[in-house]
Amino acid sequence: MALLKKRPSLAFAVVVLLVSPFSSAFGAEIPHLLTGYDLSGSTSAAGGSIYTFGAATTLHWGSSDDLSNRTADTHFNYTSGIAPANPFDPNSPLKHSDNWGGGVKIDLWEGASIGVDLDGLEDSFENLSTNGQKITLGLEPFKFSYRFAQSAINAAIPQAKSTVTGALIYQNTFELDYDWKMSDRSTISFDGAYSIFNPPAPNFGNLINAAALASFSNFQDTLQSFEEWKFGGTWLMLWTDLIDTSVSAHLSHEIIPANPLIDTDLVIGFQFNPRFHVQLGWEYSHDPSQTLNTANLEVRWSWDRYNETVRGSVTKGQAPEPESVEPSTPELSK
Amino acid sequence: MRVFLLALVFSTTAVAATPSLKQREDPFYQGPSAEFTLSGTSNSVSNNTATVFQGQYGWDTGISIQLLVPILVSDSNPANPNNTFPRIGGGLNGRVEADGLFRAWGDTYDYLGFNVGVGFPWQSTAVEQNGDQDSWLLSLAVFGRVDWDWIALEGRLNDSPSFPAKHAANNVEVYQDVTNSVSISGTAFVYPYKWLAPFFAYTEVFPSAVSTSIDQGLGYFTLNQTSIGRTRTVSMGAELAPVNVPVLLTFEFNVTPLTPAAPGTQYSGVGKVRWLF
Repeated sequence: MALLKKRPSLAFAVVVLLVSPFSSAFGAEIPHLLTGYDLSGSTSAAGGSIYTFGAATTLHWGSSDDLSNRTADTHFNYTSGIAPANPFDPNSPLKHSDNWGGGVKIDLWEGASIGVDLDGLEDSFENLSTNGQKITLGLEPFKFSYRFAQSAINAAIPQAKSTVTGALIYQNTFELDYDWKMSDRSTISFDGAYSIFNPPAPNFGNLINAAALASFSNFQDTLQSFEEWKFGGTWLMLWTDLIDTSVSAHLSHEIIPANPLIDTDLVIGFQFNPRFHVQLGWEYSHDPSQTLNTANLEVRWSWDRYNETVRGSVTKGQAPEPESVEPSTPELSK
Repeated sequence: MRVFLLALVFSTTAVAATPSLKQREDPFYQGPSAEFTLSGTSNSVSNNTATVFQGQYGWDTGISIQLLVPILVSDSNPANPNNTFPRIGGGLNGRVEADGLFRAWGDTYDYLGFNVGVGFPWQSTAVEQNGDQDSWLLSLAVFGRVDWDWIALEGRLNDSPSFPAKHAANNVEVYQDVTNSVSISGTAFVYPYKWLAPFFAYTEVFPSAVSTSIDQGLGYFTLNQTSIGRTRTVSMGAELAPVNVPVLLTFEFNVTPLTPAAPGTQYSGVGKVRWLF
């Protein structure tokens, strides 16, 4: 809530995105509307329990058969993490961090799209903030994105001879995705990302991993700006008209010296009817300092005057992926 | 035969109907259009005059592209005594900007659209080349309109995240960075006549911050942040559509009770001409 108070525009966007699906005036006119919400909880093998709560919503606009309008989607997600301020003290008070991401993806023409996403992290306990901007260009089956991020610690930092008022680092991330559509019901997506830091990352990594800022270690998996490289894949399978699954695995290397980080997701989805989809997910992530298990529930309702179906997805409530909520849609449930 | 030939002549020489006032307002107007804006602004620190040249082309698919070139004609700000005029930048828009407008839903009268654009770090004078406007910028907006024939409401949410401007001072690298500049605006149009549309508007620019980061060889930049306060502006004006010429004229008067850069109230007058070709 503190983040929303600081950013009224963010609060405005949240209200619009959450309320508009339920507006009958819009619902009657906009053919392709979709929303989903996530709740999750995590435990850590080291440093006590961590809980994360989040919500994700996606609104689809336009329709592919209306050539006077471009189809587009707006998406927004928010995650709040709660953890001990000092993971080495069993009586430590709790602190929390706020993650959010959102943006728009516009289909320029068949198979081509452009997307812009913004994301942010706010940890008031550590005075850490991250702001990222990502541009995505899609030309099926490829997708390329560039993200520029600024991470800052806006607090006094003692040095050997003096104290500086804050620290900042820039990050440039390049990512390439490839979708291998094996059949109408099965797609494997490969993705790889590499980051260049300015200045080089190790000193900033040591700074946020220092004793005075030790509680950062609890949030490695939710910090968006600290991966030097990452690669992995996601397999989406539509087994029947009712059941779909999505499995992903990623390996990454972060500037915080607790590597490697392994992250896996397993999601099973149920398409109860063309407009109603429920998915249950389990995320497992592990690095030498901790293990996280996260449960995930997403409920999705869509409006579509052309009765198109939107099928299963993986939503982690973290860095936004414009395509992640709308995988390839085979001829099912028409 | 004579009647047929006469009809043929009339049909081949028929002139397309002049767009209505609302069609002239349409940001997704099909075909080429151009707009010229002239503004005068006065506050306790300076008086300035600025212009913006804008060219646009729209397709029937709901996509438009536009190019904006802002030029500051004069500025009496004593903080910048060595400015040369006219110069690119400052004033209404800080950067030369290329935008894509995408209509995701609707038509000329009711629509929802997105703006995705890029601001270029092209500044023509040394003052701006050493300022925070000498940097790349993303110009993002979601905007929409609902029309009830005699009245229409428009809303807009803007966000302009900028990339840092890098300078060298005393052999150290200095980065100037502005956090997201977010603003919202709402405008109510009234249509008492086919050629006249008075409007009232409210704009709010949310607080942001300027950070100055210096490379002192620590492995991270040292950071100094200063905040930029909130700005609220109320506006009133009118749009005029001459009967047989595809032109839209706009006159606007703005009052900003409090601006972060200058104490006291700021006043500005804006005039626009939009040609539809």
